[in-house]
Amino acid sequence: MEQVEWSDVQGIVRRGFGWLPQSAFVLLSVADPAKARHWLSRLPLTSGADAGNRDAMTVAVNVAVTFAGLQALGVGGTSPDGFSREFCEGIAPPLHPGDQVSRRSSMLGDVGPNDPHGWRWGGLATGTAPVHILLLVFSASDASSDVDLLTGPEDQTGVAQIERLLGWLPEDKTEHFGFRDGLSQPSITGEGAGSPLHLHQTATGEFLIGYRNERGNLPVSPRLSHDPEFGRNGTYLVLRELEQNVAAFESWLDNAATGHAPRAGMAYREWLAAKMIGRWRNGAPLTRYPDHDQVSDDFGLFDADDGTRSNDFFYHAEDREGFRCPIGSHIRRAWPRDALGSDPERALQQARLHRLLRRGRLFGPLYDRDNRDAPVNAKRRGLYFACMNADIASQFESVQHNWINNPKFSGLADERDPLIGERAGDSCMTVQQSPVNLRLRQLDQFVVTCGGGYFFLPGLRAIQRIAASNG
Amino acid sequence: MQQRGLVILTPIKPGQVDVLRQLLRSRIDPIWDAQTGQQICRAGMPFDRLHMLHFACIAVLDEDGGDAPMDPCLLFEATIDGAKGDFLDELITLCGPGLDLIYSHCEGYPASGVALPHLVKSYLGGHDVVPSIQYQGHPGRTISEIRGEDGLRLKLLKTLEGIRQQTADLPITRTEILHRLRRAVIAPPEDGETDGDTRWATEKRAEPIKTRWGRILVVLAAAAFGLLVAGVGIWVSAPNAAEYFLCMNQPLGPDTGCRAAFANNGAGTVLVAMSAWPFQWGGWLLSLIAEEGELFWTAAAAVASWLTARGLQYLCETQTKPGNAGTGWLLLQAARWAAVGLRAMALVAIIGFGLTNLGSVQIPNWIAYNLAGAVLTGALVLLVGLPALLFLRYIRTMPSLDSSFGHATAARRAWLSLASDTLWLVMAILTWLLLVAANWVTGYASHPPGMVFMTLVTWGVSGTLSVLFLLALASAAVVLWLLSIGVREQLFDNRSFEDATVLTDVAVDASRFAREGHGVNKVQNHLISVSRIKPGRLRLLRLRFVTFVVNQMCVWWFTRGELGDVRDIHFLRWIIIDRGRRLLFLDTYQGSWSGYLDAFIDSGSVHGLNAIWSHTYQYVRGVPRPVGFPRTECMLLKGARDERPFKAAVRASQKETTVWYSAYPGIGGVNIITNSRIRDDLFRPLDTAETDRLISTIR
Repeated sequence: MEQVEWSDVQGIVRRGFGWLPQSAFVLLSVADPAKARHWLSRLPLTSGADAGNRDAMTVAVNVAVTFAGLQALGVGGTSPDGFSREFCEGIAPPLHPGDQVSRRSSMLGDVGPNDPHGWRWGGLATGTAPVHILLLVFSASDASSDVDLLTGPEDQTGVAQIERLLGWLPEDKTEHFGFRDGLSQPSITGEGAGSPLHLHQTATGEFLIGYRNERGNLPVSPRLSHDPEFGRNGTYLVLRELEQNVAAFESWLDNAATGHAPRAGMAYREWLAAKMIGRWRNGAPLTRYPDHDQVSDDFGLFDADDGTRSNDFFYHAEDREGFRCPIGSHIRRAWPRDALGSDPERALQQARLHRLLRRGRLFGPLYDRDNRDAPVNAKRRGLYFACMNADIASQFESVQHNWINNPKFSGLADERDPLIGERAGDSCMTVQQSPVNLRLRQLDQFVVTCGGGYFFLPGLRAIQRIAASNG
Repeated sequence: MQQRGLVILTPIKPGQVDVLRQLLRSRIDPIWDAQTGQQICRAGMPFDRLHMLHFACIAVLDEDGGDAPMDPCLLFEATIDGAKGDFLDELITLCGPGLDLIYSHCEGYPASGVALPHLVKSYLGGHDVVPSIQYQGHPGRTISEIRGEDGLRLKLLKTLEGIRQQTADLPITRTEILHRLRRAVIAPPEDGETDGDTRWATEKRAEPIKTRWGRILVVLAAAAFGLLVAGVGIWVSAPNAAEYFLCMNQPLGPDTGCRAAFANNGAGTVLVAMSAWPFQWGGWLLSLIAEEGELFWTAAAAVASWLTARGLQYLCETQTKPGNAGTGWLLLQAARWAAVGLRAMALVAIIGFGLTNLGSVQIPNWIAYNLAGAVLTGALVLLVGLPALLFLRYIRTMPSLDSSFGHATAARRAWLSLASDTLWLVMAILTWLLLVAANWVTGYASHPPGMVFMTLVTWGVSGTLSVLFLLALASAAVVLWLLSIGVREQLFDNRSFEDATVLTDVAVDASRFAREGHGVNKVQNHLISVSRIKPGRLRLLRLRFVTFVVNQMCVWWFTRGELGDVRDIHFLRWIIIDRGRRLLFLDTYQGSWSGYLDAFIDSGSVHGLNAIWSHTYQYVRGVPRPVGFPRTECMLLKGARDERPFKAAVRASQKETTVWYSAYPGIGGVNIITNSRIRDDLFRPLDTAETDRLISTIR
């Protein structure tokens, strides 16, 4: 474990600020470069060292920039200079003449309903303002007012607000489909939930530039002309707005459970949903707890849990054929652990190379399951998916393309992630069962992408360098 | 049926590169219909009507930057079932207009076009370069098998779903499921269903011999070699045996004080004796020649006549130009066939002579005492000489050794076949000489009873040890020499080539690989890489040796669908082109570009990759000096493991795959193997666990 210079790293890398349940992700564009640079330098950013002591903290502020943002600030040149190609092109690059869809969008599964032309921000819809700066504000009570304090009128700060994405975190850490989320996180330094597990210890360089990664190499560091160490302690942040259609999910489960008696039908619904995700609603993994009876209610919250119950499991030894956690289920696709290929050691080593550090927040009110027709159910809801990695192509894009949306994942023939995967024709999922597999058909589009961006989350010193540069 | 690869490289007329590329993009490349998931081939080039074609790729290979740029050439790569000649015939018949359109931009194409198909066929066939390395991810599967087995999987899937619906809560036994699956396969199709007939699947799949037996043969050969070496080791370690054979080797009398000398200083004497053996052998041969002069003069005459006949054949072959006709050509052919006949006769004479003369010297003794020794000696000669012969045969069947455009390779081929035939002859003579010499010495030495066993093994062992000792001496020298060359090469590389880490900053023209990952390339992708081979004759020779070794492994060992641990490959080829100055890499694989390269980097096959690609460098726009491949240690380690520079190097060397066709675009390599396994397992006797596995694999 390398010593991480936490005082220079922005706090969101170290903690998800779970004790600050309100959040606002503000998309800004640069109107006046000089004023914007000055404003940046004056932001009260929260470092990783600060995030270590949570008691005094009522608000946390972090900031990230896009490549267009760096250029607008007068900092980045036209050449990459160490920035990754994906970052420079953006998550939704403009189309080449004659193309229906760009290569990146096709790779990420941003086609059909997810197409960038329909995004609310950051995409290719007409009239979309280019995003330059992302301000991440986490607050105990009201994030929006904190944002107002931080940003001011445009002529003073030099930045204009495009969109303000307000988010929140429920107490029980469940997401809109009703499932406990955020359980499986890599651990850089031996801190945080699940950290004692060797399984999740990951080299620092996978998530921070300037340190060695799992292969023992130093990831390529972005440079500025006068500052070769610009990228140190920085990382790339991927933000995506995923709208969740809980009504569709619930009605699909209802359809699938038709023909069963009411009580048995409820259990069957739960079982089906768990098979699709790979965990029961309270977070218990199917691989360890294949029967619902084993999962009692006071299994409850895993906050105090050190992860041994929720997250210390492997697939190869206990569940190779997928009879407990189906091969195509969501968590198995998002991180296959030692399941890919015939050698579990090598598979685990390789899977470690594609981990994501996730810091998502929900938006929209919770769905009312008891009263389907409640007016609150008509509102938009979903997840602001935020993850950090040092190499976008090898981590985020690789997970999306080679695992989530790969119809040939792990020897399967033609199925994608049942929850967030791209839909095409009759989207199916196979639930491995003995003697005959169960095939779930006609999966609806449960999740739609409506916004996204690739950002660079610089270290604190690097932000001062941006401010100091003359453009 | 064996799959073959056609790689046709033709030079492009100057100034026509861009025109040709545009033409390929707009009028030859099939269109992808996203609705149906099918490729729509263009009118002039209907790839889908070529029933033998797995994959086809057409691309323009040209270079930007650097000194001595390669002459731009057109690449046509095709993977086919069956014979190349048949495929070319079909291609010319069905895709004639397209061929004319494309190749009219290439030099040397017959002006008459496909109006005279045999000319086009000889043009295309003449420009076919044989790859140095060919790997097949699913050897022996024909197109109809691949498609059919996938259709079989879908049918079985439907049957399983039917079973599930019927028997919702009732338990059903595995045997019953298996029966229903089998019945579904055997059932004749319903009326109106054209492609539901799966009865062919009951036949056992034909596996090529190398796929089935390749690994077993390799293991047996290795075991045999191991036994031989072990036998030698056991023999040497038994002091009595050593003493006996040391002293037995003294001609004309068993006891010349050798035993006493050995008794005093065992190990030293062994070493001295070992070093003396080659000279002793030589001495015996000379005295044999002196004693039985006629024996050898007759043999020499036979050999000389063989050599003359072979040389005459070579001359005739080099003088023959293809496409010639007329009296001159007829005379040459007649002379050539006469030479072949003479050569055969000389060979018969040598063999017959050898046989009779073996027998003429002490027949009973020969049979009784020397058979085992002779067999051992012969086996030794074969084991040492066989790799050399395989290498030579490999070189001989590879006109691409010196591949330049045009028909000049025929002369090279003739020369190489002459060299390999001569080597065969030399080996045959050597074996015969050893046998005769062994026999002669025994004939003159006395045979006290009890030494029969010693004699039997002596000759094989002494021969082995002589050769091994010489090899050891030679190897030490060779190793030192190679090390020094290695050091010099390293210094040269450090001086001349830029480190590959600079590549991560260079912007690469993304339009070159715009087709990856979507459309027709959602599941299968194609990679073309052209890089230059670092200068140095020895380096080129080493590269050829490395490619030879890797190719043998691909042919004999990696026959089960994985190269090292990499399973995602359909077809992979390495070709040394442009007179040994460039390395062309063609790869059809499953999955995304970065996921595929990651699989290589993190597996054991990275060493093979390093061994080959460490010999290359390239010029990159924006970097003044040429850039070498990421640095390797001992040719095998590191190198590609440095993943960012390696991926950047691959991108920099990658060329655009302008036209691409696949006979089964949605089926990946891993699926093909799984489908074959399902078909194989379905109709053989299975126990419960195997039945379970079969049923769960159908998905």
